[in-house]
Amino acid sequence: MTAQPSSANPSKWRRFFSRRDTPQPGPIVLDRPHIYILPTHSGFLFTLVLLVMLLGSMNYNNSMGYVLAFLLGSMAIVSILHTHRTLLGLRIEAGKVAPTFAGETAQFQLGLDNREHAARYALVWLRDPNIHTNWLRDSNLQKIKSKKFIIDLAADQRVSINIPVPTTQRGRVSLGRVTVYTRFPLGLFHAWSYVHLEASTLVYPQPRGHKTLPLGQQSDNTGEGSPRDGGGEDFIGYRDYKPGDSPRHIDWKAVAREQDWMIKQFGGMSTTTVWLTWDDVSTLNNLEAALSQLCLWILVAENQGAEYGLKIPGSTLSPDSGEQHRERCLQALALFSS
Amino acid sequence: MTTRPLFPSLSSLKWLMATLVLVILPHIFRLAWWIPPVFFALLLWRYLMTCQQWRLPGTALQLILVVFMSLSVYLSYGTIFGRDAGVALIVVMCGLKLLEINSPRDALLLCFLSYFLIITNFLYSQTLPTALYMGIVMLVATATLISLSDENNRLPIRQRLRLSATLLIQALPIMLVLFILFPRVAGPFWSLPKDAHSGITGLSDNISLGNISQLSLSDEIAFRVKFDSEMPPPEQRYWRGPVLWWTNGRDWKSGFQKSTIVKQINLHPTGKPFDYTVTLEPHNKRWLFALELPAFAPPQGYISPDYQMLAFIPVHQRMRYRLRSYTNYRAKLLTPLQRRLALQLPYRKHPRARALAAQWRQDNPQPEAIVQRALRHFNQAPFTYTYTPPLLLNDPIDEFLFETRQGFCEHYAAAFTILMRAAGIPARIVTGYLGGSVNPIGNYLIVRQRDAHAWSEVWLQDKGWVRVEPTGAIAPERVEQGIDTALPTEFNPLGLEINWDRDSLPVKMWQQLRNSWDTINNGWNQWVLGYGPARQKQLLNRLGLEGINWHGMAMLLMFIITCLLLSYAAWMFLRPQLIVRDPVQQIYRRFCKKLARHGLHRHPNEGPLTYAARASAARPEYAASIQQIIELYVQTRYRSKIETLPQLRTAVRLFQ
Repeated sequence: MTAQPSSANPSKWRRFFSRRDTPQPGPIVLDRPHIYILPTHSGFLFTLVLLVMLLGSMNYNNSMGYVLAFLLGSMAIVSILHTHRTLLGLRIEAGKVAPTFAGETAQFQLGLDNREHAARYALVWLRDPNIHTNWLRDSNLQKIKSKKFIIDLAADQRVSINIPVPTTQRGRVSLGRVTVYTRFPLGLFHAWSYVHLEASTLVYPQPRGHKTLPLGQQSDNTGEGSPRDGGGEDFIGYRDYKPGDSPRHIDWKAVAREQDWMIKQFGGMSTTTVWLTWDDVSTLNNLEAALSQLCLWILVAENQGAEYGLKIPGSTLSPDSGEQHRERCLQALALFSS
Repeated sequence: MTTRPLFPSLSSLKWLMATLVLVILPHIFRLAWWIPPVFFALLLWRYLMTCQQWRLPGTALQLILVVFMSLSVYLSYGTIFGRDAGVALIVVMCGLKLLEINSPRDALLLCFLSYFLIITNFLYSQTLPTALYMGIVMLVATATLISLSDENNRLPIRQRLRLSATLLIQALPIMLVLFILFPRVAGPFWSLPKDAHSGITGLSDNISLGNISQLSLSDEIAFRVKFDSEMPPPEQRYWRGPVLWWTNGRDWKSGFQKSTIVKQINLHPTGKPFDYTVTLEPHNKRWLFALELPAFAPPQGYISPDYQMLAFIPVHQRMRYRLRSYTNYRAKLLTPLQRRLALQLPYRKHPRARALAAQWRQDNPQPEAIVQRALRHFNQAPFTYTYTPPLLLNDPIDEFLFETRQGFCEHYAAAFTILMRAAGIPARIVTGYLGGSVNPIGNYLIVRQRDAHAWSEVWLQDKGWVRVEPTGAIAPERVEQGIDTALPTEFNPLGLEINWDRDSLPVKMWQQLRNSWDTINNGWNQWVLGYGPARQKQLLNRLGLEGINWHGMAMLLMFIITCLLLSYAAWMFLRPQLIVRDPVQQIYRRFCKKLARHGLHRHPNEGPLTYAARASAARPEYAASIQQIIELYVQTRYRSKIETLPQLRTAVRLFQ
C-alpha cells in the first residue's frame, strides 16, 4: 500500500475532467458521473406556476388544489430520473471515416448502441465546433451553430449517425467533442453529456490549379502502345469490339442499352510515367496553391492510368499507380510541412 | 406570405387543443355566454393556420385582441379580479396564447396554463367525480407535454399515454407524502373575493309566508352526523337552527340581539346524553346545527340565549365539531325582554286568529289545555299538508287558518305561534332540520336540505320551553318517518312519474346504491377535502409524532421523499442488466444453425474464416453465398460497420 490517498484524489479528478477534454478510444458508455442535469428555463417557469398554485391552495384552503400542486411537483421530480435514464448506459463508438479534400465535408460516423430494454427518445447530438481552438482567440467561432441531430433509439437497437464536419484546411481533422442532450419526457430538465471520441481523418489539399500535367519526361515503355487484354486489374477505358474478344470483357450493360458493343479495357502496364516534383510548382507564390496543384495532378494522372511519382521536400514516392499509391501521395501532401 | 413551418406539428397542436378543451369543458356553463364561442373560434383559427400554412397574426393585431378581450371580460363581470372573472380571463388568454405560439417554450407555457386551469375547476367543485375527471385531464395534459418534448414525434399515442400514466403513478406516493406531511396553515392570507364560496342552505334568516319553498326538495346534503353509540329515535331528531321571534304578520325574523355569549347553559338534563360528531357542509352562515338541546358549544362557536348554536365566523368550509346533547331537558331561560318578544303580535292583524285564541282561553285558561286545543284544531279541521299551497294575499295567518287550510311546516308553525301568543302564552318559531336518513353502510345520519323544518316552542311555567309540533297534528308521518312519506305522491327519488312502492326492490336497491355512494363521499370529505391543520395534527399525534415542529416535519418529508426516489432509481437503473443481445452475433448463430442442417457443424473453437473455408470446400454450390455472408459478418462485427447489418440479416435470411 504505497499509494497515498492524497495523491490518488487529484488523479481521479484529472481523469474525471479529462474525459471531457481529451479524446477517448471508443466505445464510450455514458455513466452516472458523466451525465449532468439541470432544470430548463421552462422548468423554472413550471416551478413558479407550482408556487402560485400552492399559495392559492393555502389561501382558499382547497384540498384538491394541494393535491394537484403536489402531484405536479412530484411528477417533475420523478421526471428527473426519466430524463437521466434516457442517456444512462448508452454506448457510443466511432465508425470509419473517409478522407476528404479541403473544402468538402468529412462525414464522421457514430455508432449508437442501446442495449437496454427501454427505448430512448429525442436524443439531440450536437458537435462542439470550438473544442480544439482557443476559445479566447476564436470567439466568433463559437457563434457557428452546429446542426442538431435528433435521434430516437428503440429498445435493443443499434443506429449509426453521420456527423458532417466541414473542412477548410488540409491536414488532420478530428471529430472533436460532441454534446448529447435530451429533455425528454417533460421538457423540464436538461440532461447532457460530452462524447469525445478518438476519431480523425486526413484532409487532402483542395485539388486546384491551372498548370497542365508535366509530361516532359514521358517515356513509352511498351513501344507498341497497345495494352494487352486483361493485362492488369485496373480499368482504364473502353474500345470498340473486335471479333475474337473475350466475352468476359464485353460491357453487357451498354449492350442492354442498345449501344455499340464495347470492350472494357484493363491494363496493368502503364503507358506513361510522370514525375510530379516540387520544382514544377515552385513558381506558384503560395505553398498551399502549390500543394493544390500537385493534388490535382495526382488525380488527373491516376485517372488517365499513368504511373506517377511524387518528389516533394521530405518525401519521395517512386512512380506507381493505383488506389493505394494515390492515397499515399495525397497523404504526403496532406501532412506536408515545410 | 411566410412559408416558414409553424412550430407545433399538427399532432402536437391537436394534443394541445384537446387538453385545453378538456380543461375548459367543466367551465363552459359558468363562463359568460360569449366566452366559449370566442374560445372555440380562436381554436379553429389556429388549427386552420397550421393546416393551411397561414401567416401568424402580427403583434399589433395580437395587442388589439388582448386589450379588446380584457375589456370584454371587464364589461361582462364588472371586474377582472375574483374567481369568475379570473377564470374567464385565463380562458380567453389561453385562446389568444394559442394563436401566437411558435416556439416550444410558448407551447410549454400553454401546457402549464392548462394545469393552472385544472386548479381553477377545484374552486367550484371538489367532489369525487370532478377529481376523477381532472385525473383524466392530467393524463392528457402530461401526454401533451411529452409530445412537445418528443421532437421527432415518433412516440405512438398509446406509448405517450402510457408514459404519462407511468409518470403520474410514480408521482402519486410522493404526492401522498407531501399531502400528509407538508405543514398546513390555516388560510386565508389575504381577503378572498366575494365569489370564493359556494354553498346553499334550505333555511333562511327569515320566513315569508306564501313563498313556496323550493329548497325543501333539494337533495343537497346539509350535514352528516356520526353518533358515538346509538342514535336517538327518529321523532327526536330535531336539529336546531335559527330561532324566529319577531313578526309583522307575514315575515318572521330573528329580531333578537345575539350579543350575549353563553358557553354553557343550564339544561337540567334528564335521561342519557348523546355524543356525536357533526360534519357540516359550508353554507356561508354562522349557524351550527345541534340535536336539541346541546349541553355545550364547540370551540368554534357559542350558544345564544335562545339556545341556538352559532359559529364565530361564517361557515365557508366544511366544519367538524363534537357535541353532547340531551333530548330530555328543562330549558327555562326567559328574560323579561324575551317574554315581551315572545308575546309580540303585529298591530291590528289577524283578528280572526286572535278571536279564536281568546275563545280557547275563555274555555280553559290552562296553557297546556290551550296547546292541546290548538293541536286538536289542526287535526280535526280540514287541514292538509302540501308543498304547493295556494298563495296567501292580505293576512296570511287568517287566510291560512280559515280559508285555504293548505300548507307545510312553516305555515303550521307560524299559525300556531300566533295563536299561542294571542292566547297569552310566550311562543317562538324554531327552524332547523328534522330527521335525516340513516346510512347503514357508514352507520351515520345524513341530513339533507329537504329535511328542513320549522316548529314552535312555547314557554310553560314549570316546564320551561317546550317543543310543540303543529305539523305532527296534520302529517304525523312527516315527524316520525321523515319527509319522503309526507311528500305528495308525485314525488319520487328517481324523478320519474311512477309511483314506487316504498318496499319494492328497485327502491331498495336505489337506496342501497345511494347509501354506498354517500359513504364513499363522506370518506372523501372527511379525509381528503377536510384534511387541514387540525386533521394533520390529529394524524401526527396518532403516528406518535406529537409536538413535531416545522423543522422536524421538513426533515421527515425530505427523508421519505429521498427514500422513495432512491427506490424508483433502483428500480429503473439497477434492474438486472439484460443479457446483452448482440444482433450481429444472433444473426451469425442463425447462419451456423442453417449450415449445421447441411451437416456442417461449427467446431467450438473454429473462427468464422476457417469455418467458411471448410463449408465452402464441402459444399461448393453454396460457396459464393457463404463467402458473402462471412465477409459481411467480419465487416460488421470486427470493423464495426454498423450499416452492413441489414445486409447481413437479409443475406442470412435468404440462405437456405
